Amino acid sequence: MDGAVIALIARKEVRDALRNRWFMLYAAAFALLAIGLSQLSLGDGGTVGYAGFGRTAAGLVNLVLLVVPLIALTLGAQSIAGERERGTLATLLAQPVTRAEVLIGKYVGLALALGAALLLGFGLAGAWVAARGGGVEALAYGQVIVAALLLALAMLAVGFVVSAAARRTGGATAVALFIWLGLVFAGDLGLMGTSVTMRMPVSVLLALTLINPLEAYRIGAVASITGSLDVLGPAGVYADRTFGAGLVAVLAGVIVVWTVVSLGAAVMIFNRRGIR
Amino acid sequence: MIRVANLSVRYGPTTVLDDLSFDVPSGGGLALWGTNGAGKTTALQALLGLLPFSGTVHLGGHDVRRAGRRARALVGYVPQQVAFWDDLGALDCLAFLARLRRVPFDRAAALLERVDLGAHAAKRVGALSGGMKQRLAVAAALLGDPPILLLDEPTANLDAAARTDVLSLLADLRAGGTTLVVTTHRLAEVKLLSDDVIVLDVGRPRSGRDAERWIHEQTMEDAAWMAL
Repeated sequence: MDGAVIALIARKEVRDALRNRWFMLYAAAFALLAIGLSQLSLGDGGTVGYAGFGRTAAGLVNLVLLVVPLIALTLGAQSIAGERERGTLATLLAQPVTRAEVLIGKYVGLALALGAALLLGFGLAGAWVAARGGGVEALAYGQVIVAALLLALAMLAVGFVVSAAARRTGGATAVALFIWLGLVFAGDLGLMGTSVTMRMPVSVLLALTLINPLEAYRIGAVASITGSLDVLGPAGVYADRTFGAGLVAVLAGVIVVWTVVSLGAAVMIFNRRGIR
Repeated sequence: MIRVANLSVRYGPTTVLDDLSFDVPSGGGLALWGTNGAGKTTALQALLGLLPFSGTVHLGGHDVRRAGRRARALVGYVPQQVAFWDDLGALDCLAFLARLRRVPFDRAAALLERVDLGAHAAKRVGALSGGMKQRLAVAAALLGDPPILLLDEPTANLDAAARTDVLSLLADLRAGGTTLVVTTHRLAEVKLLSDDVIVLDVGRPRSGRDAERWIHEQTMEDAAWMAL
């Protein structure tokens, strides 16, 4: 693969994202919600400063779980399918480039744009907390940010799988929304219901939970903020005992595997389909 | 320069191009002729490796499936449905494609002037007319001075003056040794740009003939219809 070609396509993708009004809307909404949640977490009981970053981080975990996968999945889903639908994919692939370079370049560009948007939101929220005197647990806040970026990369890669296979952006976006619903709601509630009705062993419950990258993010974030997983009940205690200090590495590994496998699948599908 | 053997393209159960084979020597010209839906555009897209296909395609000795980058570096392509990034300026668009081909910016600017779009360099591609986009596509195809040009109805959206200008440019390139494969509905363009003609009929090659003889037959056929 030619790094210069990937960089060139990535740079164009960043510029396109900055011109994309949907992307700017997503970024602004995330920043506003993050600042709003920060204010709420600081205002509780009139106490300013005490564990400000910890509370803010806890509030942002739920925001990240809902909003980041939604943004990343839909952006990813529209990337290749959009070029295919507009006909510009043929213009691009008629150049001396490989399909893998085009896909990776677009992925890197969107990942940079998305990462910058998330860092802006987290940064503004963090600055807001710091300005109000909250200086404790900044490390936990940083860990939540890093995990959110990893989650965004994984969801963006899943969106690219959809995009590589889709002809139209409308269809690709619909599939991306379906996946988002599945991961955010059906995965969580379905697993809870199944575990109760089938009296699932805690080891199986944990394994099934960890398959979902959103749950991996949630568990990692809770571990960073509270220092233990007792708050998650028996499954949390079991996870603590099973993985101990290696838990964070396991959770990060789950998300990274989602990213790598999804990107590999996207390249494979794109190589087979071409401009059709 | 171009060697195609048993080229077939299928979309699911439908065969859109069936067993096309031809050779075009360096500096030669080939016209693909056929009605709409005959498979001409599919053939050109397959030559570039943009579609999954069976058979073999070699461009300048490079297998387009195994060495696609090197093969496409030798080719300029004017698609039938011209598509660029509408938010970019005309020159920015050309400059982006030039960078992908490692061609200096100056060459992109010169080509924009050559196709009479110099005055519209800063205009968004989305604001250009169909004919202007077609000329931009011709300029993009000439980046890097490729020895092979694949032209899919290159004058379809042009007015008479622009068509004359573009045809003159293509004729000059052909005289300079550029190898051409062109799809067109116009007899005059077949005569100007090609030595041989392949007639495609719903994806099947019906004949590969000397262009002069074929044009004579077509003209006689048209005259017979007119007489009726």
